[in-house]
Amino acid sequence: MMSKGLIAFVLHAHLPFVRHPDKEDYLEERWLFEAITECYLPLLQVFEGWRQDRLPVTVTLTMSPTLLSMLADPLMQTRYSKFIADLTLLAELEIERTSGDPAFSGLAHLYRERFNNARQAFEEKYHRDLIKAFRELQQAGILEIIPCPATHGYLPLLRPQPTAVAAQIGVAVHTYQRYFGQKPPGIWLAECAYYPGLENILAKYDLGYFITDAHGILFATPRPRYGLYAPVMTPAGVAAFGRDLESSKQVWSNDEGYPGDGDYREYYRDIGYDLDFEYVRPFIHPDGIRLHTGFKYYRITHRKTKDKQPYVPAWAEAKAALHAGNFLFNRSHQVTYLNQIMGEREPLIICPYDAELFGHWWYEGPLFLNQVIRQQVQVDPGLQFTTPSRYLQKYPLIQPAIPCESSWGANGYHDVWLDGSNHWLYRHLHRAAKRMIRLSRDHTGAGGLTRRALNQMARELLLAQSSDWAFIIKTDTAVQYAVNRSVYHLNNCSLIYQMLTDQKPLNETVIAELEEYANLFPDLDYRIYSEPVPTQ
Amino acid sequence: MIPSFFGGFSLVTSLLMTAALALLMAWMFQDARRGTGPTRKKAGGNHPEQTRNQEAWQEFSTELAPQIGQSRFDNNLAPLPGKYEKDTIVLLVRSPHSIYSYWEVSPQHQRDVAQKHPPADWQNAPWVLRLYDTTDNPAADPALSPYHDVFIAETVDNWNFNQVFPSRKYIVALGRLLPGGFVPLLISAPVITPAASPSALIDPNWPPLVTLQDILSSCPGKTGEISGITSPVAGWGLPASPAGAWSHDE
Repeated sequence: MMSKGLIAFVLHAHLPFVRHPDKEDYLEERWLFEAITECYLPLLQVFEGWRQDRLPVTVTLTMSPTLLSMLADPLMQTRYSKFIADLTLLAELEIERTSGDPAFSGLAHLYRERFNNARQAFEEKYHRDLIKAFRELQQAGILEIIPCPATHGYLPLLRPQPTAVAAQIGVAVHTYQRYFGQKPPGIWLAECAYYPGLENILAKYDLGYFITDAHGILFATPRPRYGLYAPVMTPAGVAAFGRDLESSKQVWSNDEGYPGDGDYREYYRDIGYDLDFEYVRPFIHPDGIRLHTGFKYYRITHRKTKDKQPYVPAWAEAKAALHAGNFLFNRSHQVTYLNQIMGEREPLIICPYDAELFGHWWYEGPLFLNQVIRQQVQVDPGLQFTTPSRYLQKYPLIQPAIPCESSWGANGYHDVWLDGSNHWLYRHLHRAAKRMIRLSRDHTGAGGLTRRALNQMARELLLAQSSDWAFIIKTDTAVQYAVNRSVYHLNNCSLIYQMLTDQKPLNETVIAELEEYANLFPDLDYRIYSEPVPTQ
Repeated sequence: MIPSFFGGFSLVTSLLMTAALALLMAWMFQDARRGTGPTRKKAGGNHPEQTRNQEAWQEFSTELAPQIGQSRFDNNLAPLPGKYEKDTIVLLVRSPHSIYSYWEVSPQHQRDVAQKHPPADWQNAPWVLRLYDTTDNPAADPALSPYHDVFIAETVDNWNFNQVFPSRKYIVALGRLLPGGFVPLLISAPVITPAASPSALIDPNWPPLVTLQDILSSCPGKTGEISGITSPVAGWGLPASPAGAWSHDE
């Protein structure tokens, strides 16, 4: 049955592998803990609400293999347990501290409730196994979960070694099957970064689709009949869907995006920075580095003002509902217009966002998403939520075309991940990949310690290839950490290479230490680096 | 027995007292040398005295807790090698208008090429990056393609070509310009720059719906401005930049 128009939300959940068993005080591990508290648990609650209410809705969720590995890791689970317990302790102190202040007291109680709920959900409801909760939502049809490249490798810049690109895809698919017990229907390319020919590798792993940025489709060859509002089919039989610009702009735009509304919670005012050092000291970094605790009492008020006013949750909730209605209203008008032109086929609006936007950067994001789904029938019953693979089932005839090389980064191509700040990475990444490929070909039937060393070298190479490091270096945030992670994994690749080429003794203790430190992808088989790569 | 018992007791007592004193002093010194830190505006209300006890307890427990694994993964991290002693030249696409190359030429390869030329000519020959546009040359033969030369210092090992064109095929060669002509040392694999506009090619089975083709110009649009609607997330939870995507505080 034809709807008036199809909307496909695609949420991309990814964090780089930041597990550090050597010490407990890495700030970077908090990225995962904050995301669990503010994004993944609230999103689970929203998705489960849809399931409970039997809403006819389905959204696509990317879960990166590095994120899955950390969510499944007992050490990270234990550390999250302590993290959330500390937050509930801080909540008690905050309730005492703010008891005489009506503007903040209610918020302190709210945070206590939310952090206690998060703790209870993590420990008692999910028994620390969040992947299982997502898997059940996929089985219920609420989610269509897809992977991204193994460590979020930026594939166009790994292209000189196509085998390294194929390994990023192959390990991703294998990891996905390990956690979800089925083949992934499609894949999210890290940063939507695509180059012509990549589809041949995706086809090898039976991946049905990927997402590009808008110009990936609009500049496709030949020119697409339906513009952005239908996918194109690559010669390899993998479909490409383009990001809708109008809906992206409403959420992402710095100038007019919903998350900048004055009623929403201000991210950058946190008691970790605002309060007396001695008071927050037990809850910040042991070295006294101030950080975001999660207790934020102000609303954005106005983007340009320093005089922030107290956060009023009821106003923020009302605004999220209002914005959800506005989002649907705009989609309704968009598809009404498109229906006049397209006629023969329902327009498809692809709305991809970073999942971590919802809850972390935009605290009310999960509420907004929930409201979009729940208000749809009221705003425009003709709209329907779908996923790329459902679209492909409905419309098996897709226009053949080759998308344009592109990404969703600033300026639309690769220059964020390859500029003056981070270009030095690539000669080392390419050299390490060449060495890995050579060793894999030279040791086709390795066993014992040699096999372990080769598998570990593959893990280290994959970790060095994370696009996150180049991105962090470019955006000048945790630069030293990103540089050091790159150098560390590249050095480990060199060390193992030297061991396997008789330049150094093959040392089991060293290999075991590296295995413990980078323990992701336990089933990885280094021979993926000697498999042939399809070029057509 | 009694004197020795008392003697033993006093020894134990004094040891315990010394240990307790040492712990107490260690804690006091720790407390004294700790600065007050930057004090900012409180989020609201006064700082209740009763929380100080809990705070001290928290800190004390932290300081006496055994510290595990003091070394970080990046302690004593060795620098990456400056050279791999391999002959390499790679060309990478950055955008429709920019491509990037890095290279390494080994001393042995330089000697091998140099010995085919008069030493004086070789030593004085400038280093050149020759960028070939092989788009209209089906065999991608550089010798038959138009090119652009960039003179570089010998120590340079990477270069951005920022004035290339969309949808063109390029090859770069590193070499030296001798009196007899360009002598390449390394030649890259070809790359094709991305398109920066809709394709002129039309599939007659899928004729474009004209009004859907101009969406980029109706949006904030065109590739050069796509940055306005990309992810505002710059790093994760990092306090380095207080000016956030949507907030302009501070």
